[in-house]
Amino acid sequence: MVMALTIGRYKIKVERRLVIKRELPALISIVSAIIGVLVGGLFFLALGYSPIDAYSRVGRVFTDAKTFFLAVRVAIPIMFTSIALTLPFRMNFFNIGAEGQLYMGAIGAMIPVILYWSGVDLPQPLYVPLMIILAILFGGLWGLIPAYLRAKWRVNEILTSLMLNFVALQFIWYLVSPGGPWNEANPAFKERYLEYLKTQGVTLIPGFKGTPVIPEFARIDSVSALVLAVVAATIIYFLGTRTVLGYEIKVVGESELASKYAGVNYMRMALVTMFISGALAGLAGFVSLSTYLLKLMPEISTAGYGYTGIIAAWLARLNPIACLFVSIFFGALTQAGSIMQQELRISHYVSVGFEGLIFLFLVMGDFLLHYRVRIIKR
Amino acid sequence: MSISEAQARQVKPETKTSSEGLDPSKYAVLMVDIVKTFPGGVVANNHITFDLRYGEIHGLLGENGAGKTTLMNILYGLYKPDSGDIYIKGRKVKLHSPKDAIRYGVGLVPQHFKLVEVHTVAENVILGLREYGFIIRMKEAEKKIKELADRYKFRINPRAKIWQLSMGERQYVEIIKALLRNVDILILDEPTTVLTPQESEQLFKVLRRMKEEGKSIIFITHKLDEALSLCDRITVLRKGRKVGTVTPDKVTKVDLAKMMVGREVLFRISKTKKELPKNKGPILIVKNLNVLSDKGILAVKNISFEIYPGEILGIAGIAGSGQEELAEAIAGLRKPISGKIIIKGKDVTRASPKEIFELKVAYIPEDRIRVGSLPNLSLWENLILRRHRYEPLVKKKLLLNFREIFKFAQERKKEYDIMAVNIFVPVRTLSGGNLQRMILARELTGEPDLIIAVYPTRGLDVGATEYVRKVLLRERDRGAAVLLISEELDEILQLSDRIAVIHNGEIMGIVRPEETTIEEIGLMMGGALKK
Repeated sequence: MVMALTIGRYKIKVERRLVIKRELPALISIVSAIIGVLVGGLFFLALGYSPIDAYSRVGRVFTDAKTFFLAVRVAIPIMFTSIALTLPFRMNFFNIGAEGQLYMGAIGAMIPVILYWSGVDLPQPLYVPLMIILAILFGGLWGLIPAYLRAKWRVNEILTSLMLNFVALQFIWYLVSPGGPWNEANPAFKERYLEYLKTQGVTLIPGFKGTPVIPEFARIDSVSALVLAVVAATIIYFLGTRTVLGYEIKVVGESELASKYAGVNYMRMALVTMFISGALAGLAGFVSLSTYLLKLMPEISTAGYGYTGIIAAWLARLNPIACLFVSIFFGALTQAGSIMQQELRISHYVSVGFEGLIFLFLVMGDFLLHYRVRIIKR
Repeated sequence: MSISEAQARQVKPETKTSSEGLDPSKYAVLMVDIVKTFPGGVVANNHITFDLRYGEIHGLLGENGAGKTTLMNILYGLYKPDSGDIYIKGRKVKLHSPKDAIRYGVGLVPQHFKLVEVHTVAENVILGLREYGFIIRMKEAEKKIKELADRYKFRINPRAKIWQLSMGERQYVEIIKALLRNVDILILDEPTTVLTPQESEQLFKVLRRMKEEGKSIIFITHKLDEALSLCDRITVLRKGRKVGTVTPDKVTKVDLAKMMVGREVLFRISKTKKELPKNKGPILIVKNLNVLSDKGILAVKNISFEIYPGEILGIAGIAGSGQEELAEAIAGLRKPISGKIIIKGKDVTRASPKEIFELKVAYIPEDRIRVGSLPNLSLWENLILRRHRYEPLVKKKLLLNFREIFKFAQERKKEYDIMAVNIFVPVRTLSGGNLQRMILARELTGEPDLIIAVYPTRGLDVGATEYVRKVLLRERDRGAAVLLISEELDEILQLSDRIAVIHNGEIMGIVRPEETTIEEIGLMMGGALKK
């Protein structure tokens, strides 16, 4: 596309970039975010808030250790979902199902906990590893469904993976609603769980939709979760750039016809990639559960980690290491929103709108990555 | 006529480099001193002056990258020249977009058709035409299409969907699109690249009829024979400059090739005739093979043949006669419904592309861009394709060995003289000829025993074609068995040791080039003769 516009003595030309320099993506993202912040300022001004006041408080996300920690905590599940999506997106397999794979991972991770409250004992150090393995298995297997359907019968993976999100969510509803098998009021948990609640000095809330709480020995702290995310990003980065699998993923993504000609087995690739992807999304379910939510509830992903992960992966240009930083930025934005709500009494909707505005500018900035604008004096 | 005679007879083209002496009112199009430079400093058009007379077919000849398409895109308003004047029918014009060009009566049939595949002919034709209204008067459009088809004597069903049409028919749709916009100057950009010889002949007849009606036609091509047989005058471009304008009766093919390439071109590649080694068995045996096409029609009907080491078996036939399906079946990309394929004594009828590759079979696919290459990936990533699972490019079966990979890619690039800045540039930046060199470099590594080459020179310029043919002969002399599928009879006759002629999925006979004539092969291709 070449566009040109003449205004007076100046000519504005939009041209496709022939080469994209290495540092350009980061530069454009940063500049876009800054422009977004400036426009957001006008937005606040129009609503009668002082933008300087708002932003000086927002700045605290990065200066105050405790607030920053909260931002990172929100970011961790996004890290996992965005890293999860880098591989399938590279092979042009549009996994919109990270959300559902997250739910299934959380369900898997919850199994040992449910068994524990039902009176089945395992050695305590085994709980966390077991929960991780089950989260990987459940998320991964859930991811295989759209992969198999696509590879076998060319069923559109966008639709299947998206629809499976709702199936997984309804499954959680079934498990944890009052009367459901995993609801905390289930008589099966009566002996051990009620004992435990008594020592904590709390009672069951009637009609609560959720499972019993995860016991202390089966929780992990945010720092361990962060380490896990960094390890996952490193492994996926290595897998994507240094291995035959990573190469073949790129080949399939570039041309399915060429990959067939090169002897790449699409079924195998789709299954392997989607198992890894689902497993990582499943881990997102595990970390949000065992770091701070502590109970399996339908609200496990109110922030829509699976969907936010899509934007994060995309802004990170499908680079898993960059996903870590983009996710922290997303976490910071969420945290900034809640500071504004609490301290400036800005409506929740305004702060969410502000976040959306920043996303919008980041997405628009992508145009400049592929095109450049030249102003020529005639 | 020999080359030396051609050299002796100096070609004196009637060149005029300035507008002086040219009266714009006498020409349908007059482009004077056009300069166009692209970002990056490539001068695509370097002071080119071009004129089109009323009611003539004017050939624009040049190799890929000579500046033909750029010049015509300027005339069609897609590019703006850096300098130079354009006159259309005597009027000096400034073209800001194709809309302006169409208003002055200039239409372009692009090389890559811009048609909506799932829509009908009529729907495609009226796209963007205001006069058919918001609620489309389709009947009226269909009637107009029929009228045009009758006038120029070609057949087209206005209600057919584009995907159902052959490439030749699609070309007519593009032409109708231009004609319905009341165009009297028509530019065709390499229109025969995708056509069979018969379809090309048909098209030429249509173009001649349009000329008789007084339309002026610019015919972009790099095929010398076409330019000589169809055009009234021919302008040759080379590397952005105009070499000259000539009339076909004053020049030979050799002269034109020399103007176009800037050096002598060998049309006859010397081929040493040799006896087949009798002691060796065939590399490839195809026995009673039946293969379906994508549409589920029987495309290959009960075909049998074999190829011995050190021989080229050419398959002659009109494109779409089952050759593509045959090649795909042998390469493992398409499963036959019955019959046998045996490579080096091993039954590979149901084998995967990977298993067949491992038997040292090279495959040069028909579609260089979508099948043969990965356009957005780098040169090295393209060069290791198919070899990327094996030692030494891989260590421990899992990890890419970059030292070996880069060494391998550098060597291939050098050996096959692939023109690219380095091995890290995406191959979409490569020209057609270089892309084919890349594919040859990849496929011919490791001395394959069987080479399947499908239309290996289609769309390539003279220099690149010559290179590909030489490489195929070199491989044959080394001892490889080659299955050459081509629609160019010249190529088949020159390169093949034996020729199998295919018609409608059936082999009409296998002949030796020295014992046959073009007429005989032509009759077999058309299904009129069986041997």
